[in-house]
Amino acid sequence: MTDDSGQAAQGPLPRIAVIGCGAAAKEFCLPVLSKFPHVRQSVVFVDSLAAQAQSVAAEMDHARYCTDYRELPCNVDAAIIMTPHHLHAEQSIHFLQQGIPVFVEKPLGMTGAEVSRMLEAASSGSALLMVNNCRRLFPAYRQVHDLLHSGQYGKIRRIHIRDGSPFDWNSVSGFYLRDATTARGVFLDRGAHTIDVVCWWLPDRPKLISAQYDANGGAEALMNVQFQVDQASVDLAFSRLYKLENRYRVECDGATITGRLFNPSTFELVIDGRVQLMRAGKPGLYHEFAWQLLNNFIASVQGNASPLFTAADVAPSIELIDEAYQQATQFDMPWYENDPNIARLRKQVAGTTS
Amino acid sequence: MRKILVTGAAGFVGAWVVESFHRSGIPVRAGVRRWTSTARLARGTTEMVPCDVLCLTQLRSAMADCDAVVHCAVGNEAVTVTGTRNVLTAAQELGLRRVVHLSSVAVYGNTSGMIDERQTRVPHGSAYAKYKIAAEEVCEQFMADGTPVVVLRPAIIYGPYSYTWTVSFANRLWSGRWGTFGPAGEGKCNLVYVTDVVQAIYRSLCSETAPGESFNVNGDEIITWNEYFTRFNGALGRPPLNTLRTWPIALKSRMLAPVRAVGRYALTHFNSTLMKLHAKSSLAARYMKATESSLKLTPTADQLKLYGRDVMYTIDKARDQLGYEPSVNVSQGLEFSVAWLHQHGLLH
Repeated sequence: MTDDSGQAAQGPLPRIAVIGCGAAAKEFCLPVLSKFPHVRQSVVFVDSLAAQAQSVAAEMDHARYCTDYRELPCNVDAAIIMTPHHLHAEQSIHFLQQGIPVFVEKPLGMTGAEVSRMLEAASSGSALLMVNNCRRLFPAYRQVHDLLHSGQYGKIRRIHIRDGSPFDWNSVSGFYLRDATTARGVFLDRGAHTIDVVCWWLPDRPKLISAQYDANGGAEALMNVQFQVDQASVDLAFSRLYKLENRYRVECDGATITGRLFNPSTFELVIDGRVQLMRAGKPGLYHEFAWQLLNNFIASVQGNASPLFTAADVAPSIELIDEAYQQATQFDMPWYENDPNIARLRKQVAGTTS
Repeated sequence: MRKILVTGAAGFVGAWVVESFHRSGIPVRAGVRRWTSTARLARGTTEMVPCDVLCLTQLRSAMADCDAVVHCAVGNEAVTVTGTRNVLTAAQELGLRRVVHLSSVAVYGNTSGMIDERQTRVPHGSAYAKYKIAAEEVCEQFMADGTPVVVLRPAIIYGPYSYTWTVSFANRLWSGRWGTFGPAGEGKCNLVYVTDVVQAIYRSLCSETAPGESFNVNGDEIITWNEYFTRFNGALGRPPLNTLRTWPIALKSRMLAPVRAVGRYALTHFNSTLMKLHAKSSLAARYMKATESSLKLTPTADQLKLYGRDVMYTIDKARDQLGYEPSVNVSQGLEFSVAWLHQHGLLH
């Protein structure tokens, strides 16, 4: 197995704690870890639900498991954190402060402040911190990045992205939707990828112009955000209720680049109205890029590779997401606010209780 | 009024009941089968509980501290029929004050003319209608035992979040490849705006005389399907519609019927393989998209029959006994729907 830099994760698997044994662990970790020999001796699975930890451990040749990441049955060389978003910071810092490298599922943290503390812990513990922002490995995205940064087509004038699908992540705990502590919805979830890519593509950190969402005390399902950087405007829309176009469009002085968000290998380059299909790499499945990144983390822990990117590269996107949440206003929703039936019900209830 | 449990709370009507009640200050609990379907409800602060209607234990727990249930859950035969039996069993055991069961005018089959609640129920080949009739029969067994059940039979429920009657027609009209159907589209389109259904539900929960009864729930402005398409198209700000020749559409509909059936089977049984193929082959992805688009823009044979059917569901009984009065006319309903479609980025 090789990572993107061509370096193999060779030799014995480092001793690894996998924290969180839900859907993310099953989708992203197990396929990578199961490729290594002697997993049973090297990995310990941790989940606050013992049955969940036991079930995943059983799939991995009956590896060890426990219910508290602070009380592992053995020393570990690295930690992989696949828990609900609001636990990422606390759990990562626990390991980083001990000098233990950490690979965390996206989003890196809930807020800019959390991410700062995580980076400080990584710095003070001299430990590697990586995050599963695997879309940075899409060959198409990388080629778009290189084209934009080369300045070959002049300045970026406009970025337009529509990113939405019905929510279907098979979350075991349902934390995405039922837990008040995670009252940040689609923008943190899907935006963790898309805002990171936008920040990576742009030459400077974008400035927030405005943000609107449909949250009513809970986790938003729809959010629109506008940024500005230099002379470029950035217009983004996210939904976890409906399928949107799921395309990006980057307009530069001399060309327009468009592509499908989930197409890792190709994009279109439009110059003077002529459309050219650009093939940046072989078609690949989404999960293969997450596996590639995790393998790079393991190879980096082994000393066989350098990290393709670290959490510090991704941190500005979380700061921007945090800022957008703090300034977001609620959409006008006349189908609720002006509905005569809801207004009448409200009056009736007020009349009954007064 | 104590707390009201809504089953199927993540669905179109269930979520509207929960949101409308919550926004009005009526204590409500959302019963959901899967967390993945709760993205809409999670925007608010309504209490959500696991509530698989096929699990009596979950139902009993979900109904704790409630005095009424609005039963919106629907699905396959087991969910629709056995699920209804389970809801009523748990409600009876716990002595709930009221159960409002959401049925449908589909129970009247393909009958034409003015239909009131005395009309015989007839399955017309649709599994949905068959299950809804069976669920009503379950309700009647419990009514006979004294369980305070009210059955509501809404017509075509449209409005924000309705995929079948709002989003799908908006996409067809937006494509520029939809039109009116001449005489074949002059059947009656029995539209009822979704919060008018919520109003009927609330009145059924409050009425002392409603238990043991069934009520049609319809709007009071009955227009033709051609008019629905024309007015919806106008509300979307699109160029005027052309009248389509129906025989080529009927022919295409017949030719696409096997493609539709195979597609449904493939998506049910080979979904992951299809997704892999979609990701790995741009040719396959283009073919799938073209097929999907063609299927979405072509009405099925049943839909063509529906557009031509002359039927009206009267609401005199609901008016008299529940005090129900539709409050949202078609223009206002379409105005809300279009504003919602724009905000959700669904017009593309």
